[in-house]
Amino acid sequence: MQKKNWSRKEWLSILAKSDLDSLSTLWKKVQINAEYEFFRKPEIGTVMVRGRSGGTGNSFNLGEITVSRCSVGLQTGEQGYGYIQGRSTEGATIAALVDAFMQTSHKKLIEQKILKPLDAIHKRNKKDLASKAEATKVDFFTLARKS
Amino acid sequence: MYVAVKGGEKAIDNAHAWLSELRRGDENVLELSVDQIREQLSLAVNRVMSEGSLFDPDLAALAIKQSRGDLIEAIFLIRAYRTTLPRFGYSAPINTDSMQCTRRISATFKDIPGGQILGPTFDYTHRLLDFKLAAEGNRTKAQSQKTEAKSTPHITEFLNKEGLIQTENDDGSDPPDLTREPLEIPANRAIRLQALSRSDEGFLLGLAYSTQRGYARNHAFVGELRIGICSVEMDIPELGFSIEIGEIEVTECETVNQFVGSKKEPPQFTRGYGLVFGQTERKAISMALVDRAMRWKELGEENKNAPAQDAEFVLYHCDNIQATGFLEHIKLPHYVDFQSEIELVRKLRKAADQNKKQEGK
Amino acid sequence: MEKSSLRGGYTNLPIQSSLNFREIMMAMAKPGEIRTLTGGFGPEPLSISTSNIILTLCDPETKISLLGKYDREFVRDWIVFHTNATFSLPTEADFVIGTWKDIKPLSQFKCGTEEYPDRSATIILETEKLENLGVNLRGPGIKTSIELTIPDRELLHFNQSLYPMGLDFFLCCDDKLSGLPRSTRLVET
Repeated sequence: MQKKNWSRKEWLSILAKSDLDSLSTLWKKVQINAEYEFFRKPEIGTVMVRGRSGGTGNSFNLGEITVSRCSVGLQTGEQGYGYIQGRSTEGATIAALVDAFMQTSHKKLIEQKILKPLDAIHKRNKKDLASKAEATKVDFFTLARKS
Repeated sequence: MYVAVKGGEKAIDNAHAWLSELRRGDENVLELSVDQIREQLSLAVNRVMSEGSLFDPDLAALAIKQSRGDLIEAIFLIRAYRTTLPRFGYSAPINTDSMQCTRRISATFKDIPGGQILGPTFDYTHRLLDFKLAAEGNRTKAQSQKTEAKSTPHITEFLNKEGLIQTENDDGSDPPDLTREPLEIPANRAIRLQALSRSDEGFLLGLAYSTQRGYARNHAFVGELRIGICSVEMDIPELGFSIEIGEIEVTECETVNQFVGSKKEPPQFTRGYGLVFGQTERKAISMALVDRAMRWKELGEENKNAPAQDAEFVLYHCDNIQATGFLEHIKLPHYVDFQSEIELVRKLRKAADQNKKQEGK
Repeated sequence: MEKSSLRGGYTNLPIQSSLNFREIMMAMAKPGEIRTLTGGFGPEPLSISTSNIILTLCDPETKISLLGKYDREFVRDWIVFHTNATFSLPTEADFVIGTWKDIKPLSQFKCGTEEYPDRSATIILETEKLENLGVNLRGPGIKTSIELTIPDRELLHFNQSLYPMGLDFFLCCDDKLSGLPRSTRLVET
């Protein structure tokens, strides 16, 4: 099940969906330090979410979600872009730094110590939800009619 | 006409202080935390998110606390806060086909692939007040049956295979946005759906009910009602590709409506559509019914002059923040306005008196 | 992305954009007066004042048209990164950036409609010189008259026949800025 290599799109998505407490705790544990500059200071904003009429038809604007984002540049040249759901400048900064360090020799360490645990939490939550839903699935009893 | 009147500052400050004290209530009772509201009044939180048109459970919970549980006031706070945030962009349309469902039922087919999943519903409760909840609190744990997370296809697709239901296609057009451009009539379906999704639940419920009772009856069945988690994906221009930027809970309702055909369309089933933030199924079903009622023109149906068919009537009155803003403003000082009204009535009375006297002569 | 396309955004967004917004608004309210914008900087050839107008006024809902030497990938990248604005044909643009030579004919831009005269383009005109010397201007926001260097008198003639529709201009040079709304006229001599 566990994938060995995440694409950048995948790791950015894992970061975006992670909850701040776990992200922050895991980040503090790896203790990577490096000089960096902000290209875009962490900021809080919204994204307008779209749906489709009838699920498959023309798109329409459903409503907004809060999103925080940040982008950093390491002194060694790597650029990091972080997006995270909700309002957390700290989370956005960590996400951007993780993205930047994933392009350095720290890649392995970050995969093991941050991305893997975050992904596991996410998968476990999804599985728990699915299992609770499964328990409410209806079993219809049908009676065979006598002719 | 409004005239600037000074004064009342101290009275206002003191009114706010009293409001604040009442918000806290009896200090011998534990204070409610925002976390508690988010976790334990989650359906109120969902309503505030859907009508505030901003998915953020923590903010909605805070707004409920601040507004002392007045949900329209809470929605007002959310709408006001939203305007202070920059908008980073627009997401790709969420794919409800890949929703991870926590509830998914159909009133049209019993045996559906994936099954009928009841989810955390009130439907089969007896609506008896549970005094145990007051005495002992809430302790029941959900049952669980091990399975992998998976997505489930839409039920209406099965009708589609026979060509029995009208199809919904994407013409690729960019949808207009109510929060950026003022509402103009006639409004296309994209604008109507946006307006309905953030509209007042009570107003929408009443309108939907009116269609069931015969005001532009459109005979709806719930083809599918699903609640679950959808991921939100957005193009990130600086990266040149899209990423998932979050996950939201939504309720989606597709109604299947009998349709005898018109000059334009053959007899078939047509659809109404509801999509709302959070677990909000009453609202989603109402939305689908009203959406279907407003589609009379494009389907070549008869205009029965029913309220739910009148897009102008529905769209201009469904937003509770607009409505409450205009409604409640009449309690604010109109002293000069009213002075002129008094003058007018006095004049009219004088004229009427004189007329009477002249007739008497 | 090139670093030059990433640098130069606001470091204190609410404060810097508010200060610049005030300056930009006053530039339109008092045509001909020369003001200064600071805080952000875009890659060459964008001037400081043009860069700050973009950072302050543009967002995902604004359509920009870059003309002449401004239509370069790293300029587009800078604008997208900092504002998420989109690009369009000159005929559909909300903001047009170019020199006098690039922007003609003026009739190609949106001039608004009778019902919505505000649905028109704003032209950000990069100039070599911006001083209170040259043609004599009058109109709303100008006490008696004010002199300003403008690239061509046509700029003012164009709006005359269209009012209340028309185009609004920002003249930009280094960090200097001056506004020329559609209501400004030449003092006839």
